[in-house]
Amino acid sequence: MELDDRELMKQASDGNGVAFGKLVTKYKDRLYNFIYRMMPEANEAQDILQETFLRAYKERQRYQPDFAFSTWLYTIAANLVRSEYRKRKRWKFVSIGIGSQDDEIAIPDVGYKDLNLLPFIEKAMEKLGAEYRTAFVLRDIQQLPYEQIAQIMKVPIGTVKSRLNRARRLLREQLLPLRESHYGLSKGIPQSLSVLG
Amino acid sequence: MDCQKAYRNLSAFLDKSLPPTIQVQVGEHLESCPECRKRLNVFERILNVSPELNNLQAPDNLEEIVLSAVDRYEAKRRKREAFKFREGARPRWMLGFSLAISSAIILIGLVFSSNLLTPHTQLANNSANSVNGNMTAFDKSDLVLDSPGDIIKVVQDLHGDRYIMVRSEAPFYKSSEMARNTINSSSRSSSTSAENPYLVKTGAEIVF
Repeated sequence: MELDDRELMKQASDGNGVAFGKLVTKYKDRLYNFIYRMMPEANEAQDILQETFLRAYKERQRYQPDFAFSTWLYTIAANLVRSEYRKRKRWKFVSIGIGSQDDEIAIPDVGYKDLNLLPFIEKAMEKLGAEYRTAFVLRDIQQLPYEQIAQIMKVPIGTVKSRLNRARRLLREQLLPLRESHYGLSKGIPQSLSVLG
Repeated sequence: MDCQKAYRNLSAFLDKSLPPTIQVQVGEHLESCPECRKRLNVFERILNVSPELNNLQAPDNLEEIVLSAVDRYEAKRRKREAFKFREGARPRWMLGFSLAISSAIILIGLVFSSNLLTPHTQLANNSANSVNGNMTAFDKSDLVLDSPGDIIKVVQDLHGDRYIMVRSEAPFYKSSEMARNTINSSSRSSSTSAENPYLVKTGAEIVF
């Protein structure tokens, strides 16, 4: 019989390593997606992912079963990401990839309707502030309910919606030149192909 | 309803989370306003494709790594508990003596390791142009440092793109092209040739 998260966590609290391993298996992919979308660097995201689970184990006695276990995990992960952002305030990123582009993504020769927006959305997300990005990742990418997002971000639901609204508008503004350039090209009007800024 | 108000409510309109009367008003506005429909179209495309970004997989061996870390944590905890249990049998002066010895060892270790942090000894292999696993070759002319003492870290994202994390105090370059031009014009005194690439493990820290 499949045990629910609370029961598994109770067993893990009693020292059952296998029970904790099952929780790791169940949540590792979605947590990794969340952490990576907040901090798009593979090594760092994996470190934070490991630390999230380790911290969940170390502090298992503090887990309150009134909340979903996933909410607790996301909260730990979000706190670790926030700490890493604060540490990194003094750092900037400069691409050194051979042939890699810092600012522009090549726009394929397809109509706007067929254009794969994913790489552009990924790029545009890098410009979102942390709070807006969190709301967007949890709601529009991970599809979590508003109530859970509010618990993870420790803000009212209204604030979550407001930040999400802002995030979507900022992303739209980033992508609008893309749409305009495609529309203009299809009409024979030369347009700038710069997507960002 | 005017366009400004409709635009403010577009996100909530898509979520169907507006009060019913407002939801209807926005819908009616969209029927008659092509510009607002264009805006809605972009929102819809973003929302339709974004869940596809939930496509990454954590490393296969994550459970093993986490459970090993848990085992190590438990072993240390048991050791600490055992020490506390025995502590009552030890005279207090022994505890102070142990702390003094530990502090001295740490201090000696710090002094020793700082002597090893010279620019050239920090660098990994100077082999030319080879890439192996998570070792990444890059040309020194890609670096954006222009003063000794800066610390950089080489990182790599899932797409294989490499980045250098540089201190904020260093000039900010928008492209590696600009960085190359600046470095070529400013760093001439280094004893290491700009043509020799460095083989550096992703995640390594390099001090210049």
